[in-house]
Amino acid sequence: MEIVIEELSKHYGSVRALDGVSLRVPGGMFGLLGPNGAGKTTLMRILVTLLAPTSGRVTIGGIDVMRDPAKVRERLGYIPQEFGFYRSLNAYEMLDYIGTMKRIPPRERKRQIEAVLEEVNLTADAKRRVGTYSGGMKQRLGIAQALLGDPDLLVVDEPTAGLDPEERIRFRNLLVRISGRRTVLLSTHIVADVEASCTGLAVLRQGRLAFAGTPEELVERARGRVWQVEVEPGEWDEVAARVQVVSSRTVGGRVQLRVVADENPLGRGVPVEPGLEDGYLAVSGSVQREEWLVHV
Amino acid sequence: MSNLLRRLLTAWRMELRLVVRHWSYPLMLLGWWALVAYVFSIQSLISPEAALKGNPGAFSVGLSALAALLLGAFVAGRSQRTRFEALEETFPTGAEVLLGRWLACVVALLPTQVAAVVLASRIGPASSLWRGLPTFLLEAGIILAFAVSVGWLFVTWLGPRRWVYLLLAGGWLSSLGWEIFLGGQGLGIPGSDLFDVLRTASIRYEELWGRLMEGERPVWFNLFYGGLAALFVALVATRTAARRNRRAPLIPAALALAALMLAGSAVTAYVRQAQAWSAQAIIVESIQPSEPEVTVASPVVVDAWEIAADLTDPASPRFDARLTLRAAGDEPISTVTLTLHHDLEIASSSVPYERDGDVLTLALPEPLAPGATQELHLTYGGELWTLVHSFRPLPDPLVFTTERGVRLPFFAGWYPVPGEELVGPDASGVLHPPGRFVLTVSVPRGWSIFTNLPATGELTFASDRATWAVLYASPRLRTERVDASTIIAPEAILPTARAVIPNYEALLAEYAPFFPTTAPDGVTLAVLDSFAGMADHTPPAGDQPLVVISQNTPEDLKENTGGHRYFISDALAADLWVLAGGDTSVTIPRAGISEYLWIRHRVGTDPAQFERALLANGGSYTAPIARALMAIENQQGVDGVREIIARMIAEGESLRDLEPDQIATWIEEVGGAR
Repeated sequence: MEIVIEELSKHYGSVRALDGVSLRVPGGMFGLLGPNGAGKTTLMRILVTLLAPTSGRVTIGGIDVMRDPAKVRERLGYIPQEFGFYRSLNAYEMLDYIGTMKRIPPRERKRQIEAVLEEVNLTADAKRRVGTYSGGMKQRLGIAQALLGDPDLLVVDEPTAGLDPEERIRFRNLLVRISGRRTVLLSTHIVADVEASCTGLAVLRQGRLAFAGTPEELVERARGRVWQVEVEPGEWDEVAARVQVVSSRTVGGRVQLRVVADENPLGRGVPVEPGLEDGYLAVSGSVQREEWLVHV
Repeated sequence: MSNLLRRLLTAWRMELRLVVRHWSYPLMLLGWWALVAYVFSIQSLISPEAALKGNPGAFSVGLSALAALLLGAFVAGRSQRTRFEALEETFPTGAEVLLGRWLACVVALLPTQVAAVVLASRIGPASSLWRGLPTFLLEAGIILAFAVSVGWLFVTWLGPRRWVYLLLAGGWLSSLGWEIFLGGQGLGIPGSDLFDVLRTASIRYEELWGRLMEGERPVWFNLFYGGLAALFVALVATRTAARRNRRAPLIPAALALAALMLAGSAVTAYVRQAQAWSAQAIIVESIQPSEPEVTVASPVVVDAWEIAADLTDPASPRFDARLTLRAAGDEPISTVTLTLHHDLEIASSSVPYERDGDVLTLALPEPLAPGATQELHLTYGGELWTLVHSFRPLPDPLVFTTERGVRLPFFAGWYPVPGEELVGPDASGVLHPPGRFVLTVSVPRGWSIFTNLPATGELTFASDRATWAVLYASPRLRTERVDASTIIAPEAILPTARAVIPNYEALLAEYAPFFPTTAPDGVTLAVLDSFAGMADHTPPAGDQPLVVISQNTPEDLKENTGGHRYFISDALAADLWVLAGGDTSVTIPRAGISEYLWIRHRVGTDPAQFERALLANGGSYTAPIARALMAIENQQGVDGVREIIARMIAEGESLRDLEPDQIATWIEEVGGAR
């Protein structure tokens, strides 16, 4: 199911949460990357009809989100960044209620509930009160409710925040598995989640679109701009102020840095093979660098 | 079942379940039931219908309105609090979920009324309960729906903040004072009691008349709050639909508009009636006659009334009156002045007449010589509706002829009386000179009547010395014989009144031997409304004492408390005095006998104990008479006292103006007390 976003803006007073974003999501599993405050959640909330944009247009499967939000909701599954359930109900009751609200006929509903519980591995705990669930179980129940009604589009906003590594991996794999027959839009600030699962991605920074393409294309954006350089501890601050530091470690009293920069930092950097994280920093950092240059 | 209905029912069921399974729900119910039970326990409850439609029921509903406000707010904020809202806002649903959850709140609150219903059912006959229950549940549902809507609206607009609960509770509490501030005791704005959710000031339920005294106000009250409930729900739905669908929410907005118009029309009609009633009302300081006096206000007296009252159309009764007029002065008279309520139109008269308001001036065909009599035949009829404003915030209709009942107190001017000042609540302490009174009444099927005149047939009544006559007719009134006694009361009060009769009969058996030439075997007890219009001391009904009490009294009498038993005692003693031939206007000797009998009943005949009780009685004005009578009894027994009372009755005229000390001396002299 294709999502087409055209010149989408959302302003809160003088704050521009989204500023003229245009993007096409062809389908499959698509990642939306960006730091906190980049506008990811705003974009997600517009897509799932919770928020009206200031200007611009969004169509999902040809349906205009602003004009016909009710129709979009019929084809939508959504897992927000923060959500909860009625704690006194068990998972089955909760899904049964949500299934009714999603207009699933009674017989079909029972089948679907059992299927999604199986899918998220909660069948054994289906009769337990939701209030007793761990964070991971609640996230899985969140996916289960989103899958009810077999939606064409699944919008997942920062799903792995608060999960332990094992749960995060399991969750990621689950998303990949279910993305086979539908569009999954995954919003996150964790590059590894996108790297491991998405066939396409976009990067948002300060409400603007910084990149849109495949993970490989994003990696290519960093090619020739990723360096490894050893510096004295006293030089750290100077380097960090001028280039994007991807990672660092201390080796024999010196600091070994992996940086993204257009030119060889300090003239002694060694070029290295770029990764997705480097690409992400390259495109999001380019915005910053341009601004830095203007100020200088 | 359609998808829409299924979602509505599912939302309703889910919310109901979440509410009733919450730990606080049973606690709330228990607390509410306990409060309602307390209120029921401190009220005089006359019938299940009265309890439900009167103040206890209104209190129960009004109290639950507080719970409804808080629950409405709590439920409205549930999704936001639990963060489920982030999910459910993306479901393909509409206002049906809101409506289902709102309905669940209302239904969950209905059990708060269980205590009122159960307690009411224990009061009296099931028929009365069934008569009152549908209205009670409907009105409870409306108020609860309104309160839930208010709570919901506040949280929808202000968010689920804790101070919203305080705000709502404060608003509920302050509503109790609005009526006082805006109504009769404050700014005097007619109809302001509409904002009194507890309706403590506006309830006018009378067992005899139902809600007649409230006019159409209950209907407008219910439509107002029903309209507001619908308006608030529609506003929430409008806001939600506008936000979610991003288009003008035509249907909810149209519903909101319709609800607003309904509430607006209701408040207009309510205020209009209140204003009209206030404008009509006659303002008097007091309308309760204490010791009515016979006043000869005319050179003409009526020796006899023979009145046929046709109440078959109770809204517009017709009367056929034959009067025997007598010139009471020393001069011949050629015109006669009578008083008849100005709303009663005269259809025919045997002599020419002129009318000026209530005053009717008749031109006699020939001058009437002193002591001579003249027959007068009048037919008249019409609708009566007299509102009186006294100590209560809203006026009381004291005189009326309606489809629901007829109430013609003795000051109503429903039959011609001599003189010019005997009509209207201001004249309620004035009676006409005694005369023979024969009353024949016809009523619709199922109706019964009450009059202070002794019955001579099923619907005929007569008295040789009537100084006043009242006529009440109601489909709720019943007459029942209990052994030798008679009860005239609204059907629902009959069981309570039955329980009171033995108290009367026991005292009657104790008191009757003290009065000569009379041996009544029972009493006639009339339980009427709580409005004024009945003289304190009714004349006996035939050969039995007639005691008229208000609708709230029987339950108190059943409790057998001292004050109420004194009321019984005094009423019986007064009627025994009259039955034995005593003059009602000889009040001091009669009151002395009453005090003597009462204290004797309580402490017996031991002189020391009697004296102590007499002093404890506050050293009353008539204590010397009581003391003297007890002295006679201790010397000569009951027979001696009976002889004294016989002499008091026979020589009443000479005792009329004596002080109690003088009467006591007279008793000692006549009785030969040592």
